[in-house]
Amino acid sequence: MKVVTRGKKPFGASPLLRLCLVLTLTGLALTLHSMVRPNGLSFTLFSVLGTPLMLLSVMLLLYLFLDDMRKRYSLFSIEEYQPGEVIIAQGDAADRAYFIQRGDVEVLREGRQVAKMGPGDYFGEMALLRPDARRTATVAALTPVELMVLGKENFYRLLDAIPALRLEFMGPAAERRRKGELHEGEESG
Amino acid sequence: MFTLILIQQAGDAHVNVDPVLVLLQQLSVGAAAAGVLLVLFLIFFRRRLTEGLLKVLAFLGLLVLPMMSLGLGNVVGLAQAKKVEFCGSCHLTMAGFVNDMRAAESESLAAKHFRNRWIPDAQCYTCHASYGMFGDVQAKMAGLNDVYKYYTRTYKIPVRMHAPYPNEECLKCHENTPKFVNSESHAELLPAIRAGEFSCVDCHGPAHVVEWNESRHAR
Repeated sequence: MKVVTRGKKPFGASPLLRLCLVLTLTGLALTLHSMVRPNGLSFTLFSVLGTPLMLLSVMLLLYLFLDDMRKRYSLFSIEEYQPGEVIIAQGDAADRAYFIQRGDVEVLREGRQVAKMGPGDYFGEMALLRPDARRTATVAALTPVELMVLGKENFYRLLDAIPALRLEFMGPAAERRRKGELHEGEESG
Repeated sequence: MFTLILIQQAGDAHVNVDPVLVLLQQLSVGAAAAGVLLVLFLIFFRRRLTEGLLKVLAFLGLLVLPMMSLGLGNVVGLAQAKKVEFCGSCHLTMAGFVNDMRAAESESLAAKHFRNRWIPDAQCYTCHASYGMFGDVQAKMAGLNDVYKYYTRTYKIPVRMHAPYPNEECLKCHENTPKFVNSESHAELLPAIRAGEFSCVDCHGPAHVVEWNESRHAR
């Protein structure tokens, strides 16, 4: 399994940060030049070049900070699996729910395929709704799969933020799915 | 050192050095120098820093220090740009005007105003910039144009004003003063002077006396 963080590069390795550093260095050098050798040319360079460069750098830096914060506090993380890889195993402790972004997975109970799921489907959420729950089925990747993964705490936070989701996860359809009455799109928990 | 720079710019008139301006300049230069050092440190050593420390230093080096330097630098720079020494820094074109203004024996209008301290400071700027925000902006825009022409050597000699000298620049100080209003020679011409139909310089000029040596300007 490959965990893909949304912030593909750490803050220090971002090319935008490198650009900010170069822009600011140029702007500061022009500022120093205009202070130490004040004349028409140095002040013009400071005004029409140094000032916009430093302001541009500040805007880029603010974007970097905000983008970094958005990634850091994102509810979801992204995971990728290759065909045949087991995503969750029957009997394991449950701590996360999965939402399929790309690819197909199969649901296995006692080694027998009971359902298939694809993009837009989700699994693993039922176990989060029961205390000390264990996975009731195994889910494995059939094709290369990209999943949005939601931890237990963030799952509850999402339910609190969007109460309508309780109906989706705990309503009659979810109950029937849990009891295995819905075979199409049946899922594990 | 920076105090000396400002004193140098002010020529012999040390009393004209504004201590607040000196302090602001020192702060601006200090912030810019510290910013340069910090940015250089970040360029070469940022990968060795922890993420948290890197963000704090980036905040300081890319936001706090540059903005401090930028704000103060603009205040100091605009103040410096009003000084006679700044105007005279375009030696080939402006030095003649400045030298005439400072010459003890000159009888030009500018020299009389300078010699008698009728205008105590920023003499060029005071006479050549109009009142208000737009006056400043227009002066700066014209200055940018002059800088471009000077460094690309696209100016023509003898250097002439962009437009005839407006009487408003004289009247902003002289208007309504007893000497101006009670003058017999002004009484008859007052409407024409105020309307800009009759130039002050026609009687009181020349504003500057400059001898042009064309060979110095050859490209």
